[in-house]
This record gives sequence, C-alpha cells and structure tokens, in this order.
Amino acid sequence: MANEIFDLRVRNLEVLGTRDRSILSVPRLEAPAGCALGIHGPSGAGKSTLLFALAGLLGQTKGQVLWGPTDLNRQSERQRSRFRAANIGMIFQDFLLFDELGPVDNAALQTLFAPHARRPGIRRMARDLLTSLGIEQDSRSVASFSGGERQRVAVARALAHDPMIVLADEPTASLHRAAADALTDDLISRVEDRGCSLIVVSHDDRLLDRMDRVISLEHGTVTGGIAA
Amino acid sequence: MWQNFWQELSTNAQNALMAAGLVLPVLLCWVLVRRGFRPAPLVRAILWRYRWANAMFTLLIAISVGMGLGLIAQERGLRKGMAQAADKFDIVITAPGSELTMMLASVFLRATDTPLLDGPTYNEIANHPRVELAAPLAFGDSVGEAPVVGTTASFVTHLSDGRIEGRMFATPYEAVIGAAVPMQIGDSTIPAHGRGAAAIADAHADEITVVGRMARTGSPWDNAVLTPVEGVWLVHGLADGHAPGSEATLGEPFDAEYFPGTPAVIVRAGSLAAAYALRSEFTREAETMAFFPGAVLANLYRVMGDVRQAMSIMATVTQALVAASVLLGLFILVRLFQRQMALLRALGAPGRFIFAVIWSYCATLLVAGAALGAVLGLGATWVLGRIVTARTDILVEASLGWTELHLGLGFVTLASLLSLLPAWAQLRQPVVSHLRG
Repeated sequence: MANEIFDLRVRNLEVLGTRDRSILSVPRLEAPAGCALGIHGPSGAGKSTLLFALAGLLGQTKGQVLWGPTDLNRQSERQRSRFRAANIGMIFQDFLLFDELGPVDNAALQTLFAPHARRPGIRRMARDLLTSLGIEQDSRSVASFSGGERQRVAVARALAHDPMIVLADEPTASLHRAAADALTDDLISRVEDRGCSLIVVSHDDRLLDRMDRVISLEHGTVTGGIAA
Repeated sequence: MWQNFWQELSTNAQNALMAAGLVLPVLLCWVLVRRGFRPAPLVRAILWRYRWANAMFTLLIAISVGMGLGLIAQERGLRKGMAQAADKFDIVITAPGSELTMMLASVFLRATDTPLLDGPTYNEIANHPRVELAAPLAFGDSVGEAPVVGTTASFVTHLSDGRIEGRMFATPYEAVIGAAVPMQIGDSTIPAHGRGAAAIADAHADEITVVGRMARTGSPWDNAVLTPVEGVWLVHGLADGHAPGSEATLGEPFDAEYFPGTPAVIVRAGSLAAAYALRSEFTREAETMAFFPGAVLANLYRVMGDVRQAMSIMATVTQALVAASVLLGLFILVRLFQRQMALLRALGAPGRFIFAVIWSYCATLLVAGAALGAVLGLGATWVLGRIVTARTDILVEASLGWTELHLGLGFVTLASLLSLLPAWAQLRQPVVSHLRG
C-alpha cells in the first residue's frame, strides 16, 4: 500500500447544501503524493467542507475527487468507508477521543473493526507512535490528559493504520503555542518519514508556513494558491 | 409428525425448547451483527460515560419487567399454596349448600354459619367400607386470632403426617396447636366464644392446655388450636358424642344418639375410585353434599380464568407499551453519542460496526434490565408471598418458573429486535454535521 501513488486531483467539485445551494466550488485542485498542502481562509469559507469532501464524507457532491485512480464521488458509501479505513487518517480540532479509553486503545481504535490480520500491526504501530510522541502508555483514560497530549493521541490514531493520506482539521486550534508548535513538528516529521500526503485546514500561520503549498478559500471558492 | 414429537416431549423439555426458541433471534442477531468486530470496548466506554442515564434506563426496564414477572409468579404461588393447603382433604362431606362456602369453612377455616350433619349420617360415613378416615369438625371458639377446631386425633395425625412436637391430646381439655400459634407447650388458656371482634372472652370456664405442636403444614391450620371434638361440644354444654358409661370417651367411634352434630366431615378414601364412589354416594339432595376441595378450587380457577386471561392480555399490552417506551428511550440515548459514531464513520468504520456498537449497547441495557427485573420480581414475590402467608396462613412460596422465564426472554427478544431500529437510524445520520458537533 505504501507504494501506491495517491496524487490528488479535484475536478469541478461542487458541494451542495440545502435546496441544492452550492456551498463549495473547486474547479481544479491538484497535489502530488507526499505533498503537504495547507488550506486557510476565514471562518465559514468552506475549508472544513473541502476537507470532508476530500475524505468522501459528504453526500451531496458533484465533480471528481480523485486519489490516484480512485474517484471517491463515484464510489458507494461502503467503498468510501473502506477507502478511508485503508488510506486516510483524520485529525480533528477537538481531538474526538473516547475519554473512557486509554491512549493505546484510542490510538489503535481501528483494531476494533479492521480485518483480523491487520490488527496486531495497527496496535504495534499505535504503541510505537505513542512512544515516539512522548505519550505514556499506562492504563489511565485519556480524560485526564492535557490538550497537547490528547492531540498527540489523535495524531497517533490518524497514523496507526499507516495511511498514505492525512487530513487534519485545525489540529492546533485547541492548543497553546508551545503545544501547537510541538504538535506541528511531530505531524510534519511523521508525515515526511512515511511519505504521506498531508492536507491541513488551519488558521495557524506557523503551521501553514511549514506546508509545501497553501491555498486560500473564501465564500466556498479557491481564491489563491501560494507556493511554499 | 411434528405434533407427535412435541407431545412426546416432557413438559420441561417443551419449556426449554420454547425458551431456546425465544432467545434464538437475539443470539442470531448477536452473532450476525458482531461477527468479525470487537465492539465491546466502545460499548463499555459508552455505558460508563452515560452511566447515570444508563442506570436509570436499566432500572426502569427492571421495574416494569419485575412487576410483570412478580405478578405472574405471585398468582401462581398463591394458586399452588391453596392447592397444597387443600391437599390433605380428599373429600369433604357437609350439609347441602355452597361447595365454595363449605370448602372455605372446613379447609381454609373461614368463619361461617353452617348447618350440621347428624349422628346417624356421620356414622354412615365413618362406617362406610370405602372410608379410611372420617373426622368430624367443630368450630365456634377461638384463642386470640387462632380458631379452635374440634376434631379427632387420627385427623390431626393425618394432617401433620404424624410430625407433632410433644404429644397428641388425650383428654377433652388438651390441645395440639398449629406451628404458627403464639403459644407454648404447657400453656393453658380459656377459649373465647366466637371469633374475631365478636368473640366473647368470658363465655366459657373450661381451660385447655397445650400438649403438642404440629409441624408447619403451609395451610391455615398452622394458626389453629386443635382440640378433641368432644371438648368443643362439652364447653358448649352439649353431649360429648359417647353414650354414658361407654368405653370410648375420646375419638371414634361416636354414638349417633349422643352426637351433637358436625358442620363437616373430612374423609380420606382408600383409592381414587373409592373417593369418586363416596362423592357420588354422599351427594344426596337435601341430605348431604360431598365434594373434592381440589375440584372446587379448579372450578374457582376456571371461573376466574376469564379474569386471568384479561389480566394476561393487559400484561402483554403493558409489556408491548413498555417495549415501545424502551425503543423511544433507546432512540434518545443513542443521540447522546452520535458524535462518537460519526467519528467512527469518518475513520472508515463499516456501517455494520456502527450497527454492532449501538445494538450491543442497547442489548446490554435490555438484558441487564431484564435480569435485574427478574431479581426484583423474585424479591417482590418473596415479600408479597410472606405478606399473603401472614394474612391467610396459606404458604405462598416465591419462585420464578418457566412462564416468567418465557415472558422475560420474550421481552428481551422483542425489545432487542426493536433496538435494531435505532441502530439502523444512526446509520442514516449525516456524518459531517455530527462531527462538527
């Protein structure tokens, strides 16, 4: 899987809201595999919507979202779920951890539904990632973790199944500066080590500065692209 | 063929198969929905996160299930207790009247005014070749709450299966008491005339002394003071049933001419056929009435069967309403963790896994509620049984049987199948809006 190419090509993507109103329109967007792409723009511009569309999480979409040869918009719900489970790791602004579980169980969440053969590998990877991210693997639930620790567990969860695509929605927004910088370092180095594509929605300039490319969104359309 | 197979099975086997049939859909769901997945850690996490709501919901299920099971178990326990109480009374022969009234008077010792059988009739019964035991009864007095019942030593032995602490009465003024009578061997008392609030304490002068105590029979006789029938007759100024100068002064045989009368004769026949023959022979218009207390109880249950059926329908409707409420409750509870489910879907969890988590969560609450309900039902039955026993002296024992198990399993199965709906509905929820919270 790590050898597969996941170039991103978006063609005439249109996300429809209520009454078929267009809430996002991206005529063309490309990012080669292994690229770190930042998306910024004001609140309500459609950044997260674009991220969710790239993950195949939105129902009412037109156009193409191609990851290599796979057009997510032409796939069934089940196929998109499989694609996400195999190839995409997602990180959310407010972590979305299961507070009652420990760090390993959260990071290895995929073992609950992944095929049996993959489970030991995912769990091993989760443990390795947590160790390298400086998270203690005790039996404490993550409810007692700090924001930075929680976001690192979320990063471990996003990477534990060795995805080739990492999508992050405001990953540093809930963190103070030092924790945000540490997380940015961790995220960038993990992604570079594995050669993953990284797409980050963020308002954090320091994080965006570390991206290969940054695009701007405003009122649901791409208004600018900056080569990093 | 299937009907023959079913008929040839023992009752226990039939009940076990029915229970298996009831639980099978849930087991199939359990296997099919969860196959290949490991939802337990998330189910535990959700159960713990919303523990108070879950506990309250489980308790509500438990109370509704417990009430249903408890009522059925209590009704069966009461029926069984009454049947056991009447077990020692093969045939009762009385003057014509209401079988139910006479059964309540003679078997369950409910106070009532009844006409008497005379001496020749008693002797005809007692001397009948098919009769193994015939005992006259005499009522009218009491010691505190306990009725004084005059009878014969052989009937007391029959009633207690010979399990008597102390000894049998040997004079008209000695008594053997039931297990629940608050007196001790050696105590003496003067019985009051009549029973309850109408009893007259100083009507009699003759004292009776307790010489023995019967083992518990599980019947109202546990709260009775049993004296020789001669004693009851004598304290009321009547003949004692024996001719003056006769050798027999206590118990059988009685002299018809000196027999004051008895409201009921308890008869034990040598065989079932003999019992039927006796019932037929002593069912005489305007003279005697013979009946099997067990048959009277069966008739009573039959008459009450319609009420019971109506209660069963009401119980079923109630359970269905409870199941509907449970379903509604589950829909509401599932909304509490929609965001976590959206997260799982965003991470690529298959729909069936989401389904497995939600259904397992619902099934856990239902099974826990039903199991707790069974315990509550058993506890309620035990408490109610003790109250009924204390008030009636009919031993009502708490036990959950096949009927309750079937009802409980039926509820769990129905509610579990219904809880597929909230699981299915969750899959229709939009992922992104819940991810955004």
